[in-house]
Amino acid sequence: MNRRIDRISTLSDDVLMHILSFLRTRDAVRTCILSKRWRNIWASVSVLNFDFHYFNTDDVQKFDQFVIGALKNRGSSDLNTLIYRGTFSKPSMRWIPSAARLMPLAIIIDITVLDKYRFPDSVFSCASLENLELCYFTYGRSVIRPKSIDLPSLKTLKLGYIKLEENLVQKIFLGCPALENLKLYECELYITEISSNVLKDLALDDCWLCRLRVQISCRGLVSLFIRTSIETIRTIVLENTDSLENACISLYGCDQKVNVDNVLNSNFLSGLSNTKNLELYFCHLPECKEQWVKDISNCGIFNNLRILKIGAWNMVNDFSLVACFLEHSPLLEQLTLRIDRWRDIIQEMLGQDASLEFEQLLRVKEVCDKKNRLKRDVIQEMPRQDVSFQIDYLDTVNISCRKKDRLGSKMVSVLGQHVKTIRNINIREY
Amino acid sequence: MARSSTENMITLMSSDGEEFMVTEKVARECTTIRNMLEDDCVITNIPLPNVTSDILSMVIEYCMEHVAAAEKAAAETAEKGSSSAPAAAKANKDLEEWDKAFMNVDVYTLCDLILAANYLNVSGLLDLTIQTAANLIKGKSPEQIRKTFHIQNDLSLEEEEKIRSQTPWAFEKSE
Repeated sequence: MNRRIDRISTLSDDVLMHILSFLRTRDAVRTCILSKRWRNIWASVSVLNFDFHYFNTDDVQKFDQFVIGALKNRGSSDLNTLIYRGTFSKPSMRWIPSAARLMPLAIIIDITVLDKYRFPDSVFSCASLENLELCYFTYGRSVIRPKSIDLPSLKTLKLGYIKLEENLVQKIFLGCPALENLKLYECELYITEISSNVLKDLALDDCWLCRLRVQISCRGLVSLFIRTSIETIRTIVLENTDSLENACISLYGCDQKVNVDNVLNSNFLSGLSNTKNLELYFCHLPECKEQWVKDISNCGIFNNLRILKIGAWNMVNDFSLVACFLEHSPLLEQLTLRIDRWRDIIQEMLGQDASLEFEQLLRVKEVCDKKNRLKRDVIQEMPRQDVSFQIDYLDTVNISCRKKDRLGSKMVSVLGQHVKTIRNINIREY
Repeated sequence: MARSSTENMITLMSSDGEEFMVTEKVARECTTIRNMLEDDCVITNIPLPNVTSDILSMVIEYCMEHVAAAEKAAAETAEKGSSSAPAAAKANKDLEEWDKAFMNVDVYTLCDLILAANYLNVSGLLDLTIQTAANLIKGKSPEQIRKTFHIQNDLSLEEEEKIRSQTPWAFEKSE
């Protein structure tokens, strides 16, 4: 058989369109001069992917002409996804109305804008959209001020680097009656309330919460993700969380010392007490730990909790936190602990010299150990004699810790003293 | 791969008349065959007039590898209560490597595999082969693409010029 014959051109239009849908539109369009067979294939591809970074030019006008040209010359078959990416002094968004006519299901805009620019309203009235992603970076948080929002089919909305004021959030919830998933990342939130009966999935990823209190009240919420500082988490009040099954809360430290008395909501955790899966990541802030332990105790019982993951630096100091969770989670089946410590202990000793690589830190630690300057055999403070866990179902414990850190196995033996049902122990070193 | 003797075996027949005995589980990786089995559960012999024996044997090889990997992961989960993340990550990476090696074929075979994956509806294999083909086009000039896929340019110079002039936005002047 002659294997040097043209096989690809004998594939069906659908298959060729499928192949081109995996490419950026620049590459897809240019197949039109391969041969007669390829003349119009690109024009029916259901994905348009415009990426300014991928162009050989920094001429925005040329890019704009390309986008408009592709939309104009493309056939009228339905568009599934349109992706638009790039860094511009000023972007041209005049493509949006022509794109909207092709009834796209998803639009992903990921732009950095260097000059003053007013983001156009047109994308907020594209009736066919089920999925909209707008990552709009400017120096300082970006402002979008649509006169109105009318996205009746929208199920998923992701916004990045945008300033959200009360007015905009109201328009979003009014204009997107089917909105189930909302993800805000690196946004600045000037709002006091997120309220919806339809929302199922909410993520606040690295957002600045600029008000002293934000109430999240979503009756249908199933999953919640929040990554924020250990300080701002306490400005969040969770209401009506009966249906909340999964929560992942990731907290990092802030530079100033936290004065726990100053924060308004002393018990964020109570809103999570119905969850089945709970993930909590803390950085090491001992002054806050006691407050968290108090909060857990005040929550009452985590009656549905089956899977718990906790990650913390210097977990040794925070073991009371784990113990406290175990005391309050009678049906827990799986516990995962992620332990970090050396870097922090050593950084504490050296001052905040974060430039050291981990290997160097290891060596520093060895030297310190030898000189007996590191007198924290922190393990000793771990077992709490007064703890009695009423845990009948916990059978799997996963621990991940630094290589050569014997803390993992010590933790297991401590747990083993208290919990007799553990059958599976997985220790992962990294 | 562990195979119990009671497991249903299915015979797949290629267009050139070769027969391949596979477990029902492997056959079910092909959505087209799965649908046939669900419509008619006693069927044991399936002719596949659109797939030649050399391509069918490759499709089966792919399906067996992926079924075995899924079974292995499931067995580990059952044994340990949960699969450990690093083991799962390694297994995934191994399978990715396997896929990559599996895609080390000439473009003719690649196209045949795309056709077979499309016809038999093996979604993993279809994604893999389509992505591989797309990677062969990505970033290349029209002439390079023609060369890679042995595409005969049946456009006359004038026709090609006409297309370029009709779509000036698509091509750079230097090309």
